Amino acid sequence: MPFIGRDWRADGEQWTKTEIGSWERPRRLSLSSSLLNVNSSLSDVFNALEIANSVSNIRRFNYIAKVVQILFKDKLGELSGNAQRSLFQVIGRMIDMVLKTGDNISLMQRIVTQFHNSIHSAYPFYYYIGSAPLWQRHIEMLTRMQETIKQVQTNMIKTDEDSSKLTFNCLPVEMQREVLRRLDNGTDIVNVGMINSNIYRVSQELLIWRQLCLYHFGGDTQNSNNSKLGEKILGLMRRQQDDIDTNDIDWKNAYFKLKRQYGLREVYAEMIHQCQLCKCLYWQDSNHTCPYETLSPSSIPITPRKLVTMLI
Amino acid sequence: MVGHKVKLQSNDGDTFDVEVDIAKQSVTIKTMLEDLGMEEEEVIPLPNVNSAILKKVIQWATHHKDDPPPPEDDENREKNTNDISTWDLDFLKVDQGTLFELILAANYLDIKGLLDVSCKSVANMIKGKTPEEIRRTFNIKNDFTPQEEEQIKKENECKNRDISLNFAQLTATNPDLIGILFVMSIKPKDSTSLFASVTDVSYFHTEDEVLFSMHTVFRIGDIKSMDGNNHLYQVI
Repeated sequence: MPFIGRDWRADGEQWTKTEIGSWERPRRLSLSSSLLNVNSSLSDVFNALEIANSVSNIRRFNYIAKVVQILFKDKLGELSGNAQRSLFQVIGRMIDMVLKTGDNISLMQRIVTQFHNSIHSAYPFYYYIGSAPLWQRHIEMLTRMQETIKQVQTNMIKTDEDSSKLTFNCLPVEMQREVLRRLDNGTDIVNVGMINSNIYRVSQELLIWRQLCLYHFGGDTQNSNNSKLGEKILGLMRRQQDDIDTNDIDWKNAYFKLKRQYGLREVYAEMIHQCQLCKCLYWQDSNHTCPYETLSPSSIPITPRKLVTMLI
Repeated sequence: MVGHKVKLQSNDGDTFDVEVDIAKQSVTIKTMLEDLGMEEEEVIPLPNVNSAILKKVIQWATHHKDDPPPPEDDENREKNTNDISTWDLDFLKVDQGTLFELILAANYLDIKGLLDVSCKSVANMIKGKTPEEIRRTFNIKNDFTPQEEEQIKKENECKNRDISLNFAQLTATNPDLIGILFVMSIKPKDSTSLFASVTDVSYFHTEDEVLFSMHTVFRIGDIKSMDGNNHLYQVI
């Protein structure tokens, strides 16, 4: 019986090699695949947006990490089997990335550990979709991922750099300050301050903490070196002791207090946008061919949480 | 002015011919050409940059010569350390010594874009690591004495007591309220009531939070006033 498939007389299909060495058919990002129908599932959208491959893009990594975190923290009970598979595929690729570059190790470890603990404690899985053996296999996979990450950490003994070359410690103070200014998390600044007494002195400088506070909690103030400090900061100062001199605030203390109260600001290098005209989802940096080209384009960025609510 | 070239000389004597537009990305060189009136036939000496680094800098500047000037909102943009293009990422895949030399060169030549991406990539190497891991990454020796380290750790760590104290002090502005700080100590062998550490599942995973089951009974040891005007008490 002739095989049931495409006509063997026709041209073959095109196959391209992916980064991980496998072969795949070219993704046809036709409109129907990126359209947000009510019926399009999580795995379809993940495929259309090439989430698994985007993990290797440094600009998209944090966004995807946040989406993964929201999915397994809140929505684990609503994931279909296919969605679970896509989720694990994304996490697997993230771990591959971490193995390759060595960045973000603690982030991945936190993700995998939390995921593992939240499933482990839910035995015997009454509230999850899928059979018990399936979830046992998920747990095993997560345990294996944990082991892999632990191995990366122990292998991180850096090959000895030539002592005649420049090290971070030898940089002038201004340059160390420049690097510290680009950290957006107070814990990172504290950690880097603990490595050496020189860097400790730089990390204690109030100006860095002031910038950090204004960045996260400054509200919509455009210029940072002014007297308008944003309501959150002023609110904190009012609640504290009476006479606070604006030039004399302990910014480091203020940062930690405000962080507990309001949480940090989330900024991503590249976000997923939704075109307002055709309701298509696409990455910020890639092109979007809208069928309604005559109208003026308008799109809104989608936060990770909003994306998850849309998908599930 | 397309096609005009300037000669840049590194500190070990190598000269490079660079187009004026590319060279002018460095504010230092731009100043030398415009304000100090240097002729374009002269060689511009750069005593703080060696030839290998100068070559890399010229490579970066050539690729970025058509970049638009960065927007004014610098303060917020510089904290976005993932905002590095793929080309820059590949360009910066060098050993640490070269990376730091690039930072110094970018600072000396005053090329804001290069300084920005190189500092961001160093910041990426720091993010999320413990102090010991950072030391290993950068091969830096710890020069604290153990006492100093303990003291710093105490200052910086979750400040368990300080956090509760913060809450208690919120009453300071209201004369009708009194703040009370409870210091609870538990001997797991002697106690029969249940308690658990909820650090992993808590929203605030940087604090060590312990949850007690209801109707846990504590014995009060001592009550002291903590500040002068009887608005804050500590119960042990």
